[in-house]
Amino acid sequence: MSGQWGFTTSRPTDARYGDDVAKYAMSHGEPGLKTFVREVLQNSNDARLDNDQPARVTFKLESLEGDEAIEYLRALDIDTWSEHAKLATDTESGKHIAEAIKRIKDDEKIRILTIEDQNTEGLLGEENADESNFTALVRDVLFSSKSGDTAGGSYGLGKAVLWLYSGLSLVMFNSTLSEPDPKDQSPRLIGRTRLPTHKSEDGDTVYQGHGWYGGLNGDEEGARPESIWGEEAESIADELQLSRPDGPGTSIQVVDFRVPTAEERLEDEELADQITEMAIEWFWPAIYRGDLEVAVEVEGETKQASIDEYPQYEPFTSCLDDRVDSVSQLDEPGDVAQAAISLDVPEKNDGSGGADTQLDLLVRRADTGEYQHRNEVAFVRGAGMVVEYYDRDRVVVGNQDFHAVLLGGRARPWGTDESPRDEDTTVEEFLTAAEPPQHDEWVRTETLANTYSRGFRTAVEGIKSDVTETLRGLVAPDVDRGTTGPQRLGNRFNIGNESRGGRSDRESPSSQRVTGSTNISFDEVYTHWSFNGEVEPLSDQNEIRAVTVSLIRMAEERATSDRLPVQNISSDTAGVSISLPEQNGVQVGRLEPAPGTSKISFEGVSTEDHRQVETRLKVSVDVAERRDE
Amino acid sequence: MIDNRFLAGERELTEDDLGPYLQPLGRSIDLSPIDERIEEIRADDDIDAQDSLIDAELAPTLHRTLDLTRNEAADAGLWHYLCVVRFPEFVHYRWDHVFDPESPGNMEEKFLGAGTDAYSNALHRIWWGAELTYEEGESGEVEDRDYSRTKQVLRFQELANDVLDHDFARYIPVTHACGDLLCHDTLNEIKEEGTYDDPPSNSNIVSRTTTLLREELTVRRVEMMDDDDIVETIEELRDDVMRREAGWS
Repeated sequence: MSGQWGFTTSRPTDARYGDDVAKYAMSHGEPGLKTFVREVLQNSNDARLDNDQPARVTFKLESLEGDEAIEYLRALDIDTWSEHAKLATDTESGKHIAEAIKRIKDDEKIRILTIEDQNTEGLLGEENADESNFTALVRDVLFSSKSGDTAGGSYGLGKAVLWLYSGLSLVMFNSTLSEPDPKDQSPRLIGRTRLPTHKSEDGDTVYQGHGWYGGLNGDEEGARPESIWGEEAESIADELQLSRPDGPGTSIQVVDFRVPTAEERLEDEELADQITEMAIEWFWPAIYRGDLEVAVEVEGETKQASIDEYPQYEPFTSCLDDRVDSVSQLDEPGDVAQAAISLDVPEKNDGSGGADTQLDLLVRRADTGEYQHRNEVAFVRGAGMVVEYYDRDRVVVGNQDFHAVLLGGRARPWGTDESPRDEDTTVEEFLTAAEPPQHDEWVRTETLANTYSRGFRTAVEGIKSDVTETLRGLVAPDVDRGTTGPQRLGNRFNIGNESRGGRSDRESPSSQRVTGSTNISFDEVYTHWSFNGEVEPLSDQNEIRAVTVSLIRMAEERATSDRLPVQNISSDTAGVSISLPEQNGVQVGRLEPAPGTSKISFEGVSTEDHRQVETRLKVSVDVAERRDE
Repeated sequence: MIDNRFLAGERELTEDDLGPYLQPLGRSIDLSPIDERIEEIRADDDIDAQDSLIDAELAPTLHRTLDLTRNEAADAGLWHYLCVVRFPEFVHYRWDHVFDPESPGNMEEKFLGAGTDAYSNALHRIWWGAELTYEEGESGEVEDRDYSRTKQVLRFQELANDVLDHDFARYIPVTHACGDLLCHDTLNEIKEEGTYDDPPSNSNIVSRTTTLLREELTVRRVEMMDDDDIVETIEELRDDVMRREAGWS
């Protein structure tokens, strides 16, 4: 006996299925090969057995032709399948299946992609279990039963994606279980197709569209075929080119593999290269940690996906390698600095969890020639997949180029001897809940809203701005790090600009030594700018020697060399001498206080300005050690 | 690998040297028209080495031959390959004067700049210069495109730099207006009319006008302005500059 197809019947009044739901779930963004590779690897990565061995995943690409193809299709019971497919292709949503069938006939060739994983759990669970690997992968749509709350995938889209990439919407499974099944012997073989809802030729029977390939118990119309086991499964798997090596894991075969959005079909070799690179691009953390191995096999030739062959990802792995030797300032290319990104995880609705803790940010200064993913931050949690490359190009004007990794949850201590703490697991759960079905960012999700109490939104949305702020401090082009005053001040108050570029007689830029506030606004009545401000040294040991106020024109978020003259400036601080000298031909305001003055305030106006374009206040302050009177 | 010896033209890098870093574009383009055009330019007695005329003369051929989408052109790697492996001699011919072993950055960016920086890379700048300034012909065919504005812009180094180095000019109506209103031909014509007593040099006019325009755009959104408004704004600023009333600092 070999396997055969059976289609679930439904009543004419039941819901009908057109196209695959996954297509809609995935249709935001671009469901190219990236989605497929990410989802498939994530499935295997999550199902890894709890031992020291990696999950090993091999993508095997084959094109079957001639007799081989005929044999294969016969083993697949294609005749029964075709009868249904023919009925289904009459429907609008069955069009792409009709196209695929035509293409296979024209080319006399069928491409199959088999994804074989090893050292993973396998399709555990009874045929009709409520929740199991088996039902999640083979039976359900958009349900998840990943072990634990922190698996990489927690929506079950991973499975749905498989059918989307099959031109025939047909996927076969063969699995060796990691725990012996009470009744049956591994392997376990089953297939599934998702056709649109269709009617039998006489119109009497409505088929729901979901079909299974397996063994039929009895000949009840509409019964669902069940898994085939043991030797029989082995022999069918052999005919389907779906045999497995010993050891637990699952082989998934996508029949007539295609990339749904691709403009043209890629050659096998090229497809293999793309799969390999995407595996590295998105899973270098898991591969680097030894939790995952990925290989691609084309025409019997296997190529291991190795980070060494994709040097563009080495800057990221170097962040982890060199974390123990991290420095406080990124002086040289290759230097790695680390910083904490605080995260206040709110309690869950049931009162559990909650932690005021952190993610760790590793930043590595880029070397010349390291262009790819430059100025990007790889967001990673314990699952070992890069959730997102967060582009922070030009985070500050003229920044040093860098590569960075943000390690969250159980990934936080990677690169050190530490083990994850309880708080890290709390974060891991929180971040998992913050991933949408595509697992490609950390945002406010429904899961998050349903699970956590107030504060989750601030927590998750604050991550990116904290990362940006922290990066600014590390990769700013100038040496003035450290105290820069409050954010508002940073925008308006360009203290210390003048000390850039070589005035070496100063001990340090004045931005490290003063604080204060400024304000500038346009006065419509007098058609000029009014400004005021207040500055004081940070240290009691220091006093202010002079304050120079100029008005700079902006363009494209940068200061130009244009200045608007200061018409007048005054100060209510006692003993300040005031002048309006010219600097590069433009009048500026200058305040020179009496010895011993710490805080100084001022106000003034510009000359008339009919252009009214964006103008900012620049305040340069000379600070020196307090003189004895 | 891009060290001083390479930047000084003492060492070559071949496809073999760079093999591990090269990725196929996914289609093949015959670059021989560009080779031929470079030959012609080098043979032309009216064009000196390192002259910005070189950019102007090469632009139509380069842009027609490299018929890329903007998306493809945004891939810095493509331009790195073209400059480092395929046309390093051209880069030296055009830019050798900027090489300074003490600060090699200026020369390095002629080979390695690109991406969102349309100013630096030797070929990328020509391509974008053309992309932002050409006019589509009636037929829509590549051969039918009009590159006269492109030539006007690229042969005038100050104008080309101001247009390519700033974000405002990535908006086609602005680029076209700048090209038409600030090129040598237009400025010389105005000067000949004698309307302004003592107008500044053309380079100064361009540099000053584009700075004022950038300042203007801090309070106006260029995408909300209609084309006439853009032209009028630039004309007014230019005339202020020519009258020397534009707040010279």
